[in-house]
This record gives sequence, structure tokens and C-alpha cells, in this order.
Amino acid sequence: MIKKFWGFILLLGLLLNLSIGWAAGELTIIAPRGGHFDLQHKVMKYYADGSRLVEARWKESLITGRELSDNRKTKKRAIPSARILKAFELTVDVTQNHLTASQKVTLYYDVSTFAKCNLLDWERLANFMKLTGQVMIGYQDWIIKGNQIDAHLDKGLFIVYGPVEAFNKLNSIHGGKLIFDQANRKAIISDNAVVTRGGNEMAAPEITYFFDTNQVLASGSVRTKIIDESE
Amino acid sequence: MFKKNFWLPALIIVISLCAITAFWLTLHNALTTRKTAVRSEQSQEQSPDEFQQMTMKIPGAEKNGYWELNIKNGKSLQDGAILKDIEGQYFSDKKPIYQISSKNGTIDWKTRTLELKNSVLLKTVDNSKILTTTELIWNPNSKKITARQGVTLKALETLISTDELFSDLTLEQVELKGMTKVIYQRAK
Repeated sequence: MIKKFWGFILLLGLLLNLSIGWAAGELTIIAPRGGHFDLQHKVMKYYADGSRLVEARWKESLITGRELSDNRKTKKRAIPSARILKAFELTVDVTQNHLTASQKVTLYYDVSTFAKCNLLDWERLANFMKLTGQVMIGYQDWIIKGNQIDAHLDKGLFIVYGPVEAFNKLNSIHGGKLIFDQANRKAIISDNAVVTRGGNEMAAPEITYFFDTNQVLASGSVRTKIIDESE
Repeated sequence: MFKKNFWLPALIIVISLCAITAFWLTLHNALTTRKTAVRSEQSQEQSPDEFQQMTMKIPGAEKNGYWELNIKNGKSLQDGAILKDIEGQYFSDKKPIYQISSKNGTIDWKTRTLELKNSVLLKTVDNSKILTTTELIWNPNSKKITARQGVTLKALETLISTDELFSDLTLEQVELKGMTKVIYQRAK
């Protein structure tokens, strides 16, 4: 009984440690043109120098949430993250635990995913991010474009508000809204979702696209146009 | 083997050589002593300007603010002083606010501007802000601190290293210039 109790405590501690990993990672910022520190209000601003952007890097940070409970047994515990944020200007509000990046913003979420925008607001305590202004997500060979992205980093969810356009070499997807479930490697497209592959087209109120298998799941009133059956 | 009349001239030559050597040695000693005496006189003339182990009180930026600096060696100049091995504190309303130390420095009596060089350390007495640099200027007139070369500032669990730093005298509004690296030691 005692052994089970300590085992439970150990497991709880491990889970807690993993879940706060991302939040507690050491942050290093390189600002080529310096910055301004308001130590009274605990607000710091950093500036780029021409093409040399401000770079924020989280050392030894972990990818949390569903990626950790992924079924793949390898690398299950600690996945070193390449989480890097680059921007022309970066503001860190220590009291509010809030980070704002503006102009030429790129967030490298992990090795396969990055996001670009003109303005990024990051509520770090909630692990929630809002990206606006020419937003774009790059995932493997896919590019997803829209007007705004709400990112729930702990769940690996990126909600792209549209009109949304997603494409790679073979496929293109259009819709009013796209939920990119990075943790489960799928996208749910709604509001007149249309998937096009070669000359073939499928339209439905909601379409789920699985990136690993290229499988498409449509629900509601589905319309299809098949020109090339080999696709 | 030698003739009898050989020894006399030889003895005269040896005695002459000894006499000449003795003369030159005496003359050299006299000259050296004179030089030392001259130096000593000069040194006695300069001694009022130079000082050792001195405590200086320099008026600060506020009415009740002042520096109390312990100087190991120094030299007074017309408008200021050259300082070496400096350690001290800044007091405001008789309470110590900052601790400071550096290897070299100067003080301008007119402007009360303190310029410190080499291994400069400025920190608040509670260690909440620690500034190290190669060159630091404390200007009570413009109420600015300027730090240059190898500047690091530790504050708010943050370690900043930068090329140049400009700040108010409270180290609360800090401008960083040039390539800046910041490490948030406990980013949450």
C-alpha cells in the first residue's frame, strides 16, 4: 500500500514536472539593437537591427499536453523543443506574464511546425497565443493561410479564422475556419469546406483531413466532383 | 728575472689607476646622491597633492545624497582628483543605497561627475541590482548613469549583457544599446 502511494506521488511529480516544463524553461533573448528596461513596472522591450531580428529561445523546454501522451512509446517523456520566436520588436511584461512580438514574427513551435504573422500576443500563464496580420502556418510540406490564429499551445491546437487556405503540392483546402490539431496531425475545416486534389473536389459543411494518411472525412451534405479517378 | 728598476714604474702605474678609480667612484656617488636628493625634494614638493588611504565625501544628486568613498591612493588636481582602488557607498537620507568599487577613477569637483574604470561594480545594498562594467560615469547633473564595455546587469532574475547602458540614477529606467543578450533565469 505504501509502495503504491509513493509510486503514485512519484508519477504525479513526474507529470507535474513535465507539464510545467515548457513554462519554466530558461529564456534567452538576443536583441541586436538593444532595448529598454522598465524595472519599476517590469516591462522589457527589445529591438531588431535591420534584418537582424530579435530572437527569443526557450532552452530545454518541453512540448507538453497531448504530445506527451502520444501513443508512440519512444521519446515520450522529454522532447527537447526548438521553440524559438523571432520578431522585429519584442515586449515582455513580467508582471502580467505577457509577451508581445510585432513585425516579421516567426514562431518555431517545434521541428515540423512554424507560424508567421505581424503581431503575436502570448498570454503565457494560459499558454494562449493570438496571431494577427498576414498569418501563416507551415506544417511539414503544408502551408495554411488565414486572417487570425488562436493557438492553445498546451493542447497543440491552432484555430485559423478565414477565409482559410491550406495547400501542399497535391492538395488544397478552402474554408471559413480551420482547426489545426497539431498534436493529432489533423485539420478540421468548416464553413463551406472544400478539398481539392488534382481535378477532384469534395465540398461539405465540415471536412476532417488527416495529414499522415491524406485521408478525408466529410460530414453533412457532401458534394463531390471526380474528374481523375487515379487521384 | 726582472730588473730592479721595473718594479718602481709598475707600482706607480698601479697606484695611479687606483687613484683614478677611487676618484670616479667618489664622483659617481656624489652625482647619484645629488639626483636622489633632487628627486626627494621634488617628491616633497608634490606630496601635498598625493594622498593615501583617504575617505572622501562627495555630494550626490539629491540634497541628502552623497558618496562616501575610501581611496587607497590618489592625487589631487586643479579641478578634480585621480583615484585608485576605490570602494564606497552612496547614501541617501543617511541610508546606504549603493555599494561601489573600481580600480581607477576620477572625480570632477565642479560637476561632481564620477568616472570609474576597470573592474567597476555598482550594486544596490540589497543586491537586487548588480551592475558590472569596464567604464562607468555617474553624472549627478544629468542624473544619468552611463556604462560602457562588457556591461552586465543582474536584476529581476534576469542577466543582461550589452555594449552600452544608459540609466537613471535609480537603475529603474534602463536603455540598452548595441548587441544585447538577456537570460531570464526563471522564465514562467
